[in-house]
Amino acid sequence: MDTSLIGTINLTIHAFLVGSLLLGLHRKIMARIQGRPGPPIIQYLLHTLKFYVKEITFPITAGNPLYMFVALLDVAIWLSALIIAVDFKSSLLIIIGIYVLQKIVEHGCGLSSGSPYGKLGGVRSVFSAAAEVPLFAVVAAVYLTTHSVLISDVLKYQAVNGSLIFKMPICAFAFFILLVSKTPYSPFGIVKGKDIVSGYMTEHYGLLASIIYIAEAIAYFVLLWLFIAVFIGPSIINDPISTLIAMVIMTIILAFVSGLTPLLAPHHSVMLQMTIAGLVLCDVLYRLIVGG
Amino acid sequence: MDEERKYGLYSLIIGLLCIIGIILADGLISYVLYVIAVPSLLYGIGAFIIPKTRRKDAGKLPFRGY
Repeated sequence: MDTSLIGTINLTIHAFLVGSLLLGLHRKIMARIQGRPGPPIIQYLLHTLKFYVKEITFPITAGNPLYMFVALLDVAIWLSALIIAVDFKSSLLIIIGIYVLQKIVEHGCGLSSGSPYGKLGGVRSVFSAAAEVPLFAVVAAVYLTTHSVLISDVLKYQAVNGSLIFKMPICAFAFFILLVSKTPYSPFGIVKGKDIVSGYMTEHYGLLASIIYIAEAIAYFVLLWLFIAVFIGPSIINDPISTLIAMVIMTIILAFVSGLTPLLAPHHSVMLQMTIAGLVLCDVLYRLIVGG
Repeated sequence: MDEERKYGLYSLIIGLLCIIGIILADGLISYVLYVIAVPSLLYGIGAFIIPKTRRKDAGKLPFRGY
């Protein structure tokens, strides 16, 4: 057995617990902004544990085993992202690939249930893939600046030249918008908009919902970690306590964004994301012409 | 055996096989097996903890043409 795997198991538990608590904090702050007491911070964790021992059903319209498999795939892909990003500090391109796989999960989750709400959530997930265009552009800009797509090389570059957030603020903003899109109740949260009940997760409840919650907690942790690692740098990310503080600050900012903005209509959401993508592409072109 | 426990048993078997693989293997393959083992075990164990369904015709939800 590879002994370094024990570190990965620790990291998985850490990511799940921190991700869950941060999502709970996000909900609490949102509630306070809106003048409500809100649920306790551990509510997300309690939900996950509670649903883990609840009965599941397969709707008559469900396509098995895909209906069950997508929930497991969700955990598998975000665990892969956690290992590749946080543990190996490997390529950003693989992270993009994993983010695209997440779309397959959302689409599969929605369509396999056969519910009209789930299907609509799945379809919205596909056209909200516009959120990935800024991600591609960000990686291109990071490559042009640091001459590498490996997270370890980006961290080394920042140790010498300072944080990338000051060198490429437009890219940092685009990545931040990606974080906003992934946050629950965000203006770009059309995939799980309340107009379509819970979107692709409408039929997945009980144990399957709990498994998806675990994946989402890990996803939230990984995305926050990536933002801090790629744009703020090793001074924060090398110390677990300062990483945690940075994550809490990011969560507070995201909660303010989610709490103060209404849910955008799907076409507005995509239009805004494409506008941001265009902005980053202009930045990439400028870097190509100027030379890094 | 109902459908959720049937899939749970399959997942549990896959998860346990992956654990044996992790113990025997070394290097990158152990990480791949870990990524497969965690969700399989999560569902495999969960499927045997959840209560048995109380509906007579599992899967036939009353609001959808039943």
